[in-house]
Amino acid sequence: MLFQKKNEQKRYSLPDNVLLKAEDLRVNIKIDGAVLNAVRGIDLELKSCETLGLVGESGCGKSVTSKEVIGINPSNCSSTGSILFKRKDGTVLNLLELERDGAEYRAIRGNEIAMIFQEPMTAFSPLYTIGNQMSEIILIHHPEATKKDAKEKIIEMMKLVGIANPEIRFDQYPHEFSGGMLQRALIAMMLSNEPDLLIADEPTTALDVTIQAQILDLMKRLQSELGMSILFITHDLGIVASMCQRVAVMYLGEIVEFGSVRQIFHNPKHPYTGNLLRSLPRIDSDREEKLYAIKGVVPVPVDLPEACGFHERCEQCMEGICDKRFPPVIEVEPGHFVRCALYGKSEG
Amino acid sequence: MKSEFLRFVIKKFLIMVLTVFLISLAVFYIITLPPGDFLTNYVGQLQAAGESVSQETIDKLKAVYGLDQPFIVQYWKWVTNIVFHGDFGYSFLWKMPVTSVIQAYIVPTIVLSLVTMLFTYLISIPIGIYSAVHQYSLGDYLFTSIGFIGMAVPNFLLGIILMFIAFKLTGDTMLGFFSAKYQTAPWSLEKFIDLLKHCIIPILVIGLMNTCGLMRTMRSQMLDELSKNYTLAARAKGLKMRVIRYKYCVRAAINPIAASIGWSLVNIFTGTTIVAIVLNLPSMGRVMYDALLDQDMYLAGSWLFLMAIMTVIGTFLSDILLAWLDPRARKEYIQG
Amino acid sequence: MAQKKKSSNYYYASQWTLMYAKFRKHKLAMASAIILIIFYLTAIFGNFIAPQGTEQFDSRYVNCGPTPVHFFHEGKFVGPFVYGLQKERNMETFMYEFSEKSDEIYRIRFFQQGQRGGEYKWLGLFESNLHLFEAEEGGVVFLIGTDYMGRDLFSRVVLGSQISLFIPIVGMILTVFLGILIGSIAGYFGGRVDNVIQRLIEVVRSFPQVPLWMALSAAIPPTMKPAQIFMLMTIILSLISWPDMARTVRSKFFSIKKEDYIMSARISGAPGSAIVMRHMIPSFLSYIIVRMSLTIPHLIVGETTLSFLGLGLRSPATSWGVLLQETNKLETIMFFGWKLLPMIFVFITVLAFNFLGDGLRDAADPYK
Repeated sequence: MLFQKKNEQKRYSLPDNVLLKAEDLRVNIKIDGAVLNAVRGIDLELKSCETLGLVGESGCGKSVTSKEVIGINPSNCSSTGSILFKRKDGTVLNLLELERDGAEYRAIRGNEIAMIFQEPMTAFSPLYTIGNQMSEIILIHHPEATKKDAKEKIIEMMKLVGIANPEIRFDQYPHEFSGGMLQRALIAMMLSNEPDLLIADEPTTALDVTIQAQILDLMKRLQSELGMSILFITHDLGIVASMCQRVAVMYLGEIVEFGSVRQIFHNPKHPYTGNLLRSLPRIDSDREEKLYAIKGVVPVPVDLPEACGFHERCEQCMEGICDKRFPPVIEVEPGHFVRCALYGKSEG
Repeated sequence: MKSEFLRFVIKKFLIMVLTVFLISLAVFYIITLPPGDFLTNYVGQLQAAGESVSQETIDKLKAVYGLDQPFIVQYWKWVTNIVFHGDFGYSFLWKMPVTSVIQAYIVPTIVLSLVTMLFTYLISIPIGIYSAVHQYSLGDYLFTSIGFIGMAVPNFLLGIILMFIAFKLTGDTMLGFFSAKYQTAPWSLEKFIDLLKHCIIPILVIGLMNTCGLMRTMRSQMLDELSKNYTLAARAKGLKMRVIRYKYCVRAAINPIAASIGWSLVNIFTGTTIVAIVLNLPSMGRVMYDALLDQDMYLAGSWLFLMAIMTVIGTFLSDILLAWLDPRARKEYIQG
Repeated sequence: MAQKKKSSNYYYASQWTLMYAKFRKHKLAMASAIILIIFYLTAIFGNFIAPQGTEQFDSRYVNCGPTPVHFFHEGKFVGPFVYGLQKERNMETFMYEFSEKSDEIYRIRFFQQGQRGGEYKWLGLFESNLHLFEAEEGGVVFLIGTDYMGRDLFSRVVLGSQISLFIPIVGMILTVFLGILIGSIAGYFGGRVDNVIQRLIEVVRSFPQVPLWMALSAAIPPTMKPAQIFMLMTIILSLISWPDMARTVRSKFFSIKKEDYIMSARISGAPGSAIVMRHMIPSFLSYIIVRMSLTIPHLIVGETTLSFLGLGLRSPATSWGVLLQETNKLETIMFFGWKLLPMIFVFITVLAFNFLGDGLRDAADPYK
């Protein structure tokens, strides 16, 4: 499907405008002797300078996916498939082939791929000053830089993200910062090496609504100034609509629908996407109307049957089809993919 | 910040003084607990030994210790004697002031405790870190089980078992600090080696429980820290695992351990008491035990008092240390 | 499908079901629980299981080592029996030593009326002289030897466990009661009350436990009746071990107080006592149970240590600590090694309680 261009230096290659491409990515987590299939074969493609939203309920595997990209899943996680990533020098690597905490992967982390987290309050150690922890990212990736250089760069970054009095803030401890300020500091730190890819794992979930808006604006501004791609993980469809160009909807470790924001919001194909959109409160809706809730709970991803993951909760479940085999991925319109038996050409 | 910290230290210090005061009340209560005051016992002992004690002497002694007065007056006398004259009372067992008895035995006790403490920390912290970093490895299982058993064996049983083993292996029960032939010999290399040999069992017995406890604490603290979010962020920065472990996790995990130094000291002192009794070591534990058996309460009470004061000071130092090590705790403590 | 049933059950199971399921997975804890049940049953039926009473002695068999129980005599199976014993003086150590006479066979008989005395009143109610096992007339069976008075150590261990295993339970109940009461008063009222209680806790915790136990027990007049000493010991043990419990309960109270469901109970006007009993205590019940199982071994060690040192129970009362007093004699270590055997029972019990507590601690966190 994709136009493969031969690259002399590496076995892997990616088209010009593609930064990251995951194929058949599977992540298993071993817990108490059981194996959880957290991510069950997803394909994902992220273009340069685009923001891709990864949406789903808690436990659908979106966080595991994002951590797998940057290689910081715990050691009880194992993965197969491939994650191709184009480095700054144009070479393409399969990230899954790298040793998780090896030198090569570490050289990419914080430098070419960065990540910000859901709870900024816990992303810094309480024992060292913000400046100390932020400077590290410069010192790791620029061995030639002195502490003074690092401090200058960090203060510059702090100004960029709108932290007032950065010289004073530099020597303060995390507990002296508010949540919003810490998220700004985290963003400043993670972007100080100008990475090509920023993974944002629900960066605003733990923040107040007004702060949320500020942080989102900041991210948009920085994206246009620094030119990077953002993989935006969230369960908030409102944020997706305002931040992203394309959206992947995840359910039970699979991507069930993928397309542009317009396609997904105006023409949702998968019943799960439809349900998600219906469960959003609407400002123009009738007040008496009850908010829609999807029936049932997300199953535990252990020994899942060969079937559509959503069939137990699906209102349009077709017996004998949906509970008997995996639905294939269908391209319903250009760039709009859905994994649902409702749209297959062949009927069983 | 500086003045806030000072205020915090002063506040803690005042609490410490209050605690010591309450402890002294409790200790004095214990001293006066045994039925019949010690003077009666003493006079009884003297008379049993065939000495005649005149009523005059008894009255004089009574006046000195204020025995005919209410508890609070007696307490006041006892406390002012300690504070102003360094006088902890009189040991009827030793027939000399309590202070002199304590002075004679405190040095070996302190040396033994400090050596054990050093041994405890040097062993438990690295093992705790190793166990946490290699969780569920063979080594982790091994150390965890040793730690578990070590926590459960009562000190005195371990002492007896080790004595038994030592006897079976060497034909010597390793009682006391020296073998008989070095007991009165002048210092020499052989005597020193003999001393070291005799210290193995006491250090093992006193240290084991504490070492195992610290090991477990260090392991669980370290596991806690390793699973915290900031390690994820640090990894996402591209930091080496080794740096994350030592710069962040160990540093954070060690804080509560540092804060427990006060308690460790108590455990070790308690340990020396039992071990001294079982292994017949000439240290304060043995002295206290003999004093208790004879209801020589001034001596026993003073030793108890000293141990409690040391604990309080240990706790005070731990609190300050913790506040100094952990900026977040510093803020909480200072404000709270 | 079955798989699915199971997993959805997992989600809706009550806390207790989850705890039990998790506890059963902890093999060591399960084994420990079984061992402890056996020990406690043995203690309850002690007079029946022990071949002799605590004070029965036989001056012919002073310091006699364990008598091995045999099944085969000259290659022929005869069932469990012991050989007769012969006493000789060892000319090197000048001690009496016992050896087996291979021509005298005394079968071990089960469920017999005791011949060498040993009548007892089971639970203080039923008079009986039924014993689990005893050697035939003329023979003696000492499973782990005898002491310096010729008393059967095994019987003394079994009967001593009646004190050593039950004092700690009474003490634990007292400890837990004091801990919860004081801790929840401090946690519920906070402020000045909390401050006073905090100081009290600090004072008690400042004393090194064993020496304080020793000092208090030393004050028990030796002339007291064993039953009174027993009660005082229990009180002393628990008086000193409650602060840990109280501290944790207090801090749990403070953290739970901030939880929303307590807030909503308050707003809806539930009285204070109801909030404590219905919401707060259940929320750390699992913690309390864990704590209980860990307090018991602590108190067992306490009682044993004190009695061992001669500061707790004294002969004629029999507890494990009293039994072990003999182990602190040089001659025991040098000549009568079997007298160390009662230690094994202390050791196993303490370890088993610790494993049990560990299993419970794991189980108390079912979602982990």
